[in-house]
Amino acid sequence: MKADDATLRGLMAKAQDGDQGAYRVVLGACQDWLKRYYAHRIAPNAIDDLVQDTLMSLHKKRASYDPSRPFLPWLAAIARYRWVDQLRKTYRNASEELHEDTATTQPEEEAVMARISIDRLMAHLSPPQVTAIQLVKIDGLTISEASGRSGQSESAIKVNIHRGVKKLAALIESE
Amino acid sequence: MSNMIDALVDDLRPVRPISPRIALAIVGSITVVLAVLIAMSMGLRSDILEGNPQAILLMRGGVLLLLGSATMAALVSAARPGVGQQSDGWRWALGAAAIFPISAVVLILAQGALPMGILTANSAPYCLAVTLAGAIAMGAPLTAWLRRGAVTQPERVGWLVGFASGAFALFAYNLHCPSSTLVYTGIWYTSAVGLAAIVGRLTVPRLLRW
Repeated sequence: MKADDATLRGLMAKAQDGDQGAYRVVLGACQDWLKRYYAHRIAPNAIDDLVQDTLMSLHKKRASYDPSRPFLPWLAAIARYRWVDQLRKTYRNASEELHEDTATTQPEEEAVMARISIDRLMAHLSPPQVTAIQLVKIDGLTISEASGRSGQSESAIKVNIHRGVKKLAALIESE
Repeated sequence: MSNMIDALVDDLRPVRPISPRIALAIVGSITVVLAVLIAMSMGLRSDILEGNPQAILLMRGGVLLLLGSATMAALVSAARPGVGQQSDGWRWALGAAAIFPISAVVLILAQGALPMGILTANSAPYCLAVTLAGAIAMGAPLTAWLRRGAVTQPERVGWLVGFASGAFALFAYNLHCPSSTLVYTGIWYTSAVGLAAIVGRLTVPRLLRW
């Protein structure tokens, strides 16, 4: 289901009052929205888990939604928090890929999406950091392949990924 | 995934949206109680009792209220997040409050000597202790309130809890504070609020993890 913000806002207010029917519709719409949202940001095989984590967070934190305010920015804030968490785990484990998908977003989501687009965030990084993250985390090259391709030493690639991902997380949180 | 949605729907219970009024009531009531306790145990400044308050008392009180209110507004907003929501007014209030330490440094440099009397003032430990105790008394229930919210920037909110509770606690102490000098305010008031902010930054985020 695809619902507009005004509809979701009303449904979420009912869900806060305990209306299970309304809540089911809200969760279904959020699930679809989150799949599209994360499709731009993480590896495809990690999307379902992250969507589930986010729905759990939404459930636990549903009292923090103020029905007098728009719904999607609230959902986006929770989704972003979960994404940053995932980004940190990726950085710690160095086992998952930061993935970017250039699929088109739905028009009403563009305002929210634009604020957090990975491209815009990458503009805040230094060119060597962007290159290192692009080659290793997005294109999937090994450290030594990225080193050969970029002309940076292997240790410089590692340092640039480390600093770049850390800065990305800080930028996302500060917005 | 649909199983999970079914489980969440089954688990649904009515919830009351968190209310900023509760956070404001916590801070307001504890500030009043603290002020009354200070007045009863330590006494009020003589200029207040005479009904003729000095300018420094009003300036300090005004800046502390401004800082406390601005950080509270940002904190309440952070408990109910939303992408695109701006609440940076507290940075301006913090900048305004910096007038005291900056002026103190300028005055000390102009005098060319350390103000030893102020640095070793008998009232300084009370200023720090009362502010810190009051900030903890305010920060604890404030943090409990925040845990019901969805804080997405725990470190920033840790600073905000420290600044807000420190500013209001110091506002209460200001009613007793025997000093009326700008240098004292710049050194000890800044230290007291700064200490509360550091404690907030170090303790609150770990209590706000989801």
